Amino acid sequence: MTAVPLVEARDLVKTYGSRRQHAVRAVNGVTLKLMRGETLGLVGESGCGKSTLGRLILGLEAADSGSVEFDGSPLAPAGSAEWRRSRARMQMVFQDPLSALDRLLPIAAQVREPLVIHRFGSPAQMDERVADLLNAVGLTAAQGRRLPGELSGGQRQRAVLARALATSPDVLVCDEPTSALDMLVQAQVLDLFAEIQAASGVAILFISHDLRALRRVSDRVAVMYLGSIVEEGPARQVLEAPRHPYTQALISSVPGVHGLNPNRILLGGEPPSPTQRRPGCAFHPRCAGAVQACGQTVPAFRPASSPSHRVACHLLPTGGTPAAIARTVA
Amino acid sequence: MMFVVVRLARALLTILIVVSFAFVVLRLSGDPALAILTNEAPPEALLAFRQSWGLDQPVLVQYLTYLRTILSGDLGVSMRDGRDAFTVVAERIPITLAITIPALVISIAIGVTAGICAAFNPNSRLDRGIMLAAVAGFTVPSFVLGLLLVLVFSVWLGILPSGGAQHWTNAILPIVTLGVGSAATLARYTRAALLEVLDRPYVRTASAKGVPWRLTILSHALPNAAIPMVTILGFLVGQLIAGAVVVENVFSWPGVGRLLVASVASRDLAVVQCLLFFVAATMIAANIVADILYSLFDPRLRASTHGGGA
Amino acid sequence: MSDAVKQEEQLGMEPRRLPSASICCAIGWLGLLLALGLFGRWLAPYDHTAIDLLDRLAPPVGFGGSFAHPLGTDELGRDLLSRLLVSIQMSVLIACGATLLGAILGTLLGFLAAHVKGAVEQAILALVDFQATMPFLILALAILAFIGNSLVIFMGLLALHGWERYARIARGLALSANTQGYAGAVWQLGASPARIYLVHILPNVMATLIVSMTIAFPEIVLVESGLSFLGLGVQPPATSLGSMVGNGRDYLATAPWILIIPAATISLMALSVSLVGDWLRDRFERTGLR
Repeated sequence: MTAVPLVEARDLVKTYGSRRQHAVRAVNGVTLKLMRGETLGLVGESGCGKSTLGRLILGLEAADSGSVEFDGSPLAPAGSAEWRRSRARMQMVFQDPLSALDRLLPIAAQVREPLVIHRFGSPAQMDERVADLLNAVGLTAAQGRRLPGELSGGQRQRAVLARALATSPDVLVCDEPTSALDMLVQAQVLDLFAEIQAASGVAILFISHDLRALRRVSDRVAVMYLGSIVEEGPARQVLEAPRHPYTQALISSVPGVHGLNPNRILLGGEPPSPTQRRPGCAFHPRCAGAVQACGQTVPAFRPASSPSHRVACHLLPTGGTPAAIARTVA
Repeated sequence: MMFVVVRLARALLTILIVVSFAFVVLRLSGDPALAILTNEAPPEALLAFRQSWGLDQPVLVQYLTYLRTILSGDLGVSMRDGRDAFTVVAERIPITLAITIPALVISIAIGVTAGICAAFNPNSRLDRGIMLAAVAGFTVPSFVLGLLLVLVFSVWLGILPSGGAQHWTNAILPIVTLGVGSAATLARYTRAALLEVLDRPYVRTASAKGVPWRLTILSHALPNAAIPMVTILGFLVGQLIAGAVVVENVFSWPGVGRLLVASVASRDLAVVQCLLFFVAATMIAANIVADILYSLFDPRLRASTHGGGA
Repeated sequence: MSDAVKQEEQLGMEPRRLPSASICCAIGWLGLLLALGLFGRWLAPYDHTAIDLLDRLAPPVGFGGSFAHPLGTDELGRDLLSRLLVSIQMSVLIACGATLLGAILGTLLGFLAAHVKGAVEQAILALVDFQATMPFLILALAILAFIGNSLVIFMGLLALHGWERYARIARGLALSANTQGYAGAVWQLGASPARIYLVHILPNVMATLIVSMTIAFPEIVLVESGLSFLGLGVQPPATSLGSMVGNGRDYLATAPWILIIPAATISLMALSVSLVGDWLRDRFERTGLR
């Protein structure tokens, strides 16, 4: 029953800044698993470290401590020849497609580039593959001949996706891929992600601050706060029955069709600063239900309602939903 | 305080690089003994020279010896002259200053004024005329301009002397020739800087409030425009130094520039080296002055924009 | 004053589709010079070193001269038209070669500084500062004094003019492309550094570099002609525009055409390149493309 995870990250820590300034601990001991063919959504506020985590998982940067294993073996150091070869199996999709594309080259040439780098086959085979990829993401051959500046935001993001999928990677890390797009286009691109995954079985780490996007594509969801994972589990469970107070506040703040939820949870206090960490749970200064233990020890990451749904919160064993304790009327 | 220390450190680094540059180039020139003493010197003199310069030592030792020699003030003896190189150069400096300083003053006066006129009438014929004149002034080589002026004023009109330094009228043409290039550069920069400032909201607001025209300029636009002009101060000084080399030759003005060319032609290396250090010192000083002026302008501006801005 | 200044009009050029008349003239003139630069020597009617003491100091056509020597002759009876053509060839070749070499050297060093970082980058930046501080003419004179002069040395020396500008530009653009931009994306695809620089960064940097080259070219022309005028540049029997002016200096009063003609050529060449460079820069800034 225990399948080997495709990507396994253990106790990743990444700190930026020198000792003179306040060091910023962007990732504070994260353990994460990504299984084959699944989409793991990673959600959190700006500055919580999710982008950094994405880069660490792909090996674009080296973690200060902890390990990342891909398909059972550790990642090669960034920039080395072996690391470059492994790029054929793991890829990234960025938030801003315009800056991720070379403005001087036509789209098709850029989609073709990974094939050239990794010596995919004969030029004719490469051309055929490029045509297939453009087709799969919904771009025409005519659009393929255009420069990035001549396409719309949605089309550019499709192009970036096509380029990322060119070598049939096993893992795709997508860092806010829809945040720069219009609403309608977001929906189309998200559907595209789901299609691609169904067709190719690629594992996706989908990083976003947009809960509605995550809801559409994720099999499992992890919630990140100030460099740590506070809740993780099957998408439906986490999004519909959240156990961590932060997750509950997040979920309740999503506007529905009829506007904002009048019973939504409002968080007090200041948004967190990673340079000034307090002892105990990182969230406790803003948690309405915090008890004394919350300010003293970091809560362990333990299963809540089911073994695959884990939460890091001291309030859990008390029974009853922490949400009832924490709810504040707007 | 920190600022001053950093600037001094950078200045020292630049001086070190200049001295090292001189050392490298000197070594590349072949046998420095032959170069400095020439091959007419007797073998014993060459040998003594080599020993005193430590030319039989490893390169690093030579470098350090060289550094020590230079920093102790011993800059060598002029080959042509027999005197101490430092003296040979130093006595000519006032002569060069006699034309470069007036040229700087005139070029600032003319260039800034022209730039202001151009900026206040953008795209008018006046503006285009000034800009074309500026480009011409910048690209016509100074020796061409100098010779033309000699042709017109000395040969055809006969009202100004063509060379030498006997009379103060000898200085007129060199000063004009020197000043043109810098005036042209200043005109372009002033115009661009002013245009950018005049477009800012707070200037338009002041103007809309009915503040008198000249007041707006003096209190708001000029100080802001002065900043980019201060940053090219170093460039201007460099332009004047390079210009002086050519202009002094065209007009036979016995200053530092003429000395440099003559020394290069006769390979009087001690003097060339000394001149190189003088120029470096001047440029470094100019840059430090520019930095100080820049920092002086800035806080004042910060105060005034917060006070009077939109 | 309130109909002030749209950005494209800041340089005094109107935003038209076609370049203005003066720019067209400048481009035409430059084209002519370039052609002469390649073929000048073979178009010359006489051997430019042929001395004819019987026909010294002949004025040009229209000022008392004949079509035998359309631009007159110099103090040794050499045909000025031929000398002019050969000089143009020399000056243009030196200026083009030096500009290109300087651009290549500066760009390589700039990329090196951006890529390797650390001590190498600091050393290159210190050199850039040094070169930017000293007036180039002085450095050139110092090198000429110490090392002597030959055509190769001279050309190499002129190539050092302005390298620091290309280095700064290349380094800056490479740095900004690397982490967040397209270069980072391609690196992440698994491209080797060589590929990133040659296929992606260099073409993107090219437009700015070319604009810098149009600024450097007239400056190199002026430095070369200045040095040759002083007798320290191109040495006889080779001739350049600057040395022609230097030669003609003694005859300023009696035969001014000897120096006026090459002087005018130098000025027009520098002026044209400046105008075209300004226009290119203007266009580039407006469209953002090349």
